[in-house]
Amino acid sequence: MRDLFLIGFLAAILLAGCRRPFLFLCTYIYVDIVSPQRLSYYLLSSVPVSLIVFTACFIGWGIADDKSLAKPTPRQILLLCLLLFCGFTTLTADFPDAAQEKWDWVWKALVFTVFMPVTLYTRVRIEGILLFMLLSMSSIAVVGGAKTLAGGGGYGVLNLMVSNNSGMYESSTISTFAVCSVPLIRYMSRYSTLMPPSLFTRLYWYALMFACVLIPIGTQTRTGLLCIVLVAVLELRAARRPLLYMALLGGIVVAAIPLLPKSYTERMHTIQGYKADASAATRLAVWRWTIEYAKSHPFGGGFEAYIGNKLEVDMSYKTSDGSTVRVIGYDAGRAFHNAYFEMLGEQGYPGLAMFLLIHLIGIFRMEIVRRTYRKEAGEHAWVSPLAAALQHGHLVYLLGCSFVGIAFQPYIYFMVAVEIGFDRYVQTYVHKRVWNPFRRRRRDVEAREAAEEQRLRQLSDGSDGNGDGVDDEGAPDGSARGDHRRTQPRWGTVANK
Amino acid sequence: MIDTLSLLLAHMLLGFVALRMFVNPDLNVEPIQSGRHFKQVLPKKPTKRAGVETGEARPGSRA
Repeated sequence: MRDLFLIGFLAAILLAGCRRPFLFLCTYIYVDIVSPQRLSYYLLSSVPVSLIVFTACFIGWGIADDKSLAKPTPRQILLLCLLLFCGFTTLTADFPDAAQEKWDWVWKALVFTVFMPVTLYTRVRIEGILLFMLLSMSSIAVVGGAKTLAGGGGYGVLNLMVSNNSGMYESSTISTFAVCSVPLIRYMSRYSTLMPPSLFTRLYWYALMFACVLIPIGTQTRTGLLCIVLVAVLELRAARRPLLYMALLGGIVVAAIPLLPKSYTERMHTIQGYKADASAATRLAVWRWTIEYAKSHPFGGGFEAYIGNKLEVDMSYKTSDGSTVRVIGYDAGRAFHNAYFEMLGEQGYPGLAMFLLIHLIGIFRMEIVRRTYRKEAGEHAWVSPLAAALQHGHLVYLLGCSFVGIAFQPYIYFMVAVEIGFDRYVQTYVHKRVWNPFRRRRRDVEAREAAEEQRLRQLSDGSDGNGDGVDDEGAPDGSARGDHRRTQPRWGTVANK
Repeated sequence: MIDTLSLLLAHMLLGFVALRMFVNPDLNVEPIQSGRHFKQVLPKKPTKRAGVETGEARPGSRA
């Protein structure tokens, strides 16, 4: 029955995509996050749904979409470089079979991220993509939240519909992404035009926010707790009444602590005594190994390079009488458990640099947009809150990925793509200009065009071919004209006197 | 039960958003605002004259 329902839904939305090709993109996001092929038992699981929808996105865009905004932005070029570099490291990987397996989904995520901003040229599209991301994620978060409330939580115990602990269904991954979606959910509850604010929609969004916060409690991930703390601090910036917000937050924390399960509070206490905790000590050992590995492999060891590690784990701890008990463990083939070290180990220093640039530029650009439109009212009142929501979500990811190897998780790349598309949308359609180092001023463009025109005219005339850039009347050439125009005094100034 | 209900809810909302996008006239073209804003001019309120309408005494009257 579930299979038939999922197939029916997919068929309906793909059919609608034939009329409105942008819906193919939304379907791809749905397929990537929810993975209906993993939820179904026999029918969908045998069909390469993701690849079919992926191809349909490109065909739909090629046939029906506006391509005037297809010029790549610097971040898209960076993403493309990262994709090519990943391809190179896969060819030279230490473990070619394992690397090939990861490459099979990474290239799709990166290509889609490069492609998606090209299609995001209206507000409805930007919002539609974000809604599909949030609602697809909600199909996992609501299950987790409801089961946590019903008392079915626990580390590695919470059942999120599928039995295999991978992709978005992995506990630390869903914890990070659920919490990093909270600012976007808050934005949607106020400014969405596709789901306009009403009593029902607000109720749903707040319930989803609550479910997202419950996910780290249900999965008992320490990463999730840190992300919740960060999102609470960041949202203080967006709060209209900060004092009331802090008071409410304090009240919620005081009321919630006694209700938390004992296993959860015990696990969170291990954040302080991380040295005695086997999981944390192993991570530290893996990170040390990665730094050493990068020294001998500056261009990385390809995907899944961690398989080759052999670790000596120091789990020494102090007893109550002050003496140190030295405990040394040995381990091998442990995962990075950190996106930065994942990039360093797999893609080397160039990969890490590109990864950091892609994310930090995104945060920087969103800050600029947020500040520029902070006081905007009326039709553009939504711009600054969306920039803030994207930036906060991104910052939460950057914290969360310090403890989980999610450097190539598609969810964050969808967010990066939305940031790129939104940034360009703002510069195209919103009149108040945002600072952009790559924007060419109209007067410079005009001057260059005039110079080009002049040069062509001289070439065609052939009368003044000496190339001194001065025409028959002795007027300065195009570039000089541009400079001349730039130095013209404004009306009312006395600069020339 | 929880799985099925949450899946149903999420898919229902996804379907709703897809439908809203499907019928939205601004999906493929951003509506360009003209940039011209006109100040609304309302009919003036008739000024009330002192005396008969307001009951106040007119300047100069003995009442």
